[in-house]
Amino acid sequence: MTDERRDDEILGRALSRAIETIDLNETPFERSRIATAPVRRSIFGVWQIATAAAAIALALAIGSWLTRSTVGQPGASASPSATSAPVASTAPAASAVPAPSVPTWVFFPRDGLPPVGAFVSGYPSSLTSRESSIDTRISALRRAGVGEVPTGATNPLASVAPIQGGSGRFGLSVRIQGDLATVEFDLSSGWGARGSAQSLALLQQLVYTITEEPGIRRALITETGKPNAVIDQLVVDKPLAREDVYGYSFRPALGKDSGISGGGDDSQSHVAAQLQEVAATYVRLAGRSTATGAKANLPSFSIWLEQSYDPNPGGGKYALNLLFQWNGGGTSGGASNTATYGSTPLRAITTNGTNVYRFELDDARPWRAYMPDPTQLVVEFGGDPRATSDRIAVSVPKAGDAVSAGQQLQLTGSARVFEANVSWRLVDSTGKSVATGHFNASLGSSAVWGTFDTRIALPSNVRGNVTLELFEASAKDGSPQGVVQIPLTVR
Amino acid sequence: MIDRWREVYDREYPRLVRALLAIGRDPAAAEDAAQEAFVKAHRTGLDKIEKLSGWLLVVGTREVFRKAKRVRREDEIWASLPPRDDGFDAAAERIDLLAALGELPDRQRAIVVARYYYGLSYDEIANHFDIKSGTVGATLHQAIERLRQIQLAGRLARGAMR
Repeated sequence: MTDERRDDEILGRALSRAIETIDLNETPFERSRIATAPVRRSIFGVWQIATAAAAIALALAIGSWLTRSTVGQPGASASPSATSAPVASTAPAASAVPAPSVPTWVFFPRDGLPPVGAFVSGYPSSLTSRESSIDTRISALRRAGVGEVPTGATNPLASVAPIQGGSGRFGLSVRIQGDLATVEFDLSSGWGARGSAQSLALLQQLVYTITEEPGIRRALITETGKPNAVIDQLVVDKPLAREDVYGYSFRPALGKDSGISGGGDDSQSHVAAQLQEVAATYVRLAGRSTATGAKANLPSFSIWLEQSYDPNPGGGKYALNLLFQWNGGGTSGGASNTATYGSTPLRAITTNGTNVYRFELDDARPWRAYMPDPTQLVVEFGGDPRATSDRIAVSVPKAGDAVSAGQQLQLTGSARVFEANVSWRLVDSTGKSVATGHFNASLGSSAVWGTFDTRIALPSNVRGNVTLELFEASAKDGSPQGVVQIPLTVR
Repeated sequence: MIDRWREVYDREYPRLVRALLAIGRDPAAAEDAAQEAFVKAHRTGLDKIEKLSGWLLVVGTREVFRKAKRVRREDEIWASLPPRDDGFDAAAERIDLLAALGELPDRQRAIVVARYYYGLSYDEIANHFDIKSGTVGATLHQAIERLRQIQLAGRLARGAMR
């Protein structure tokens, strides 16, 4: 999809929401003109079949967007052998036996950000199989109340897809082969999603929620009688991992060799790296003397991402390992308990009790680490995909912020670029560059990222929708590398 | 059978009236056109109609354009929108967007609503509205571009008032 087309979709969606807010004095059915008219036709069933047939949409290029970069990436592999027999399947719209319910972890998409997980009610505790767990998670999502949707997120499965038979449950058939779950939807009148943005949101929600089942890494979504699923104009015909739909422009490499190492102060013993701050998207550790509790420089460390084993308690799909140099005496890990945070993407932190932390994550999203000073280490997971590249991550401004022409604009974030030199330019809505500059991050060309907190001057003669681009100018030819593009409004 | 129609009516009516209001900008005309569209669907019979929601939209749109008295009442309509808890700016943006939609030529307005509010595909729009399928994309893009300009102007005007 081109940027232009995506921009059009965004405005189209905003317009659709605006129309939806129009206040109506609804004429109830009883007072409608047809309620009093003589009934002449009565063959309703045929209409349903006709709509189902008409729901077969066009296959557009969007399909290739989904599958463009799956080679050699986590979770993406050859298509499954769809011919093998179903292991098990659950009956659609199973009889409503009231069972005690426990909170269910499901996912909700957000505009421009990866999906966010949350608990909803209504997960029967009487499940007999992994297949029925998946079925029930999707059904719980379908029934989730508006109040259960996290702030800033949506629930397209409930608000978009049609209700089947009023039961609030889809006709679903689930089968599991290895790490792949194939979920077949029995939809009589299509998905109901409108436009590519809404279709993608629905797809994200389904892929994340289906793969929430421990041991499942990929989801293949199909419609009854078809080898694929067609959500509006989005053709889904391959197993998808979370990384295929999460929206980041690149995926971090796995394994210790692809991690980073930071030099520290290994001369002191009895130093612990304590967790000072834990948030959904970052952790901050600080060095403390285990003898006095005073601030101390952290020892050397290495950090790497690897697949985790989520059937384990507290296990995520992936884990970021943080290994501190063992420095004798006391501990360097400084923590020995498993803590569950139940946030996105950080689900839990485990340790080996001595010198390794494991940050258990929902997916293999980009990460970075920087040291504000020798006693502190910050590890960040993810971030806004628009503001995150393989070498630059911007936390301020946020995408969509309104800024003032002619004023100073604050820029905060981290970077790992050649000689710490971060370039920026402001591009107006016609694609013309209207201002450029550069500044230095605190560190350059090192394994550990540098940080920046600076101000740039916005030109006074530019208004409207602009894009702030930050990038590394190639040392070879000056071409932009690792570009992040943050849409802003200047007024 | 009444129950079947009730189900269809309850599902389709609010969306249809909103769409026709966005297209025609006249509440009475939108309501009237929506009722007429249902009467026509009723006469035609559900078995004869493929993709009912799109069908209703097209028939309703025709009615709106036929009957619209061309009264420029958008100010009072948009001013009546309830404030939402997401604050002034978001509500103002919505109102701007709807007002901007009102500035588009009739046909563009109908196509924009069909695409983004009703989610019809390019081919469906081409068939229903009787235009070449090749021109749907271009028309939509043109319309959205114009919307963007009008919306921006409104946003700037609002910013200037503070």
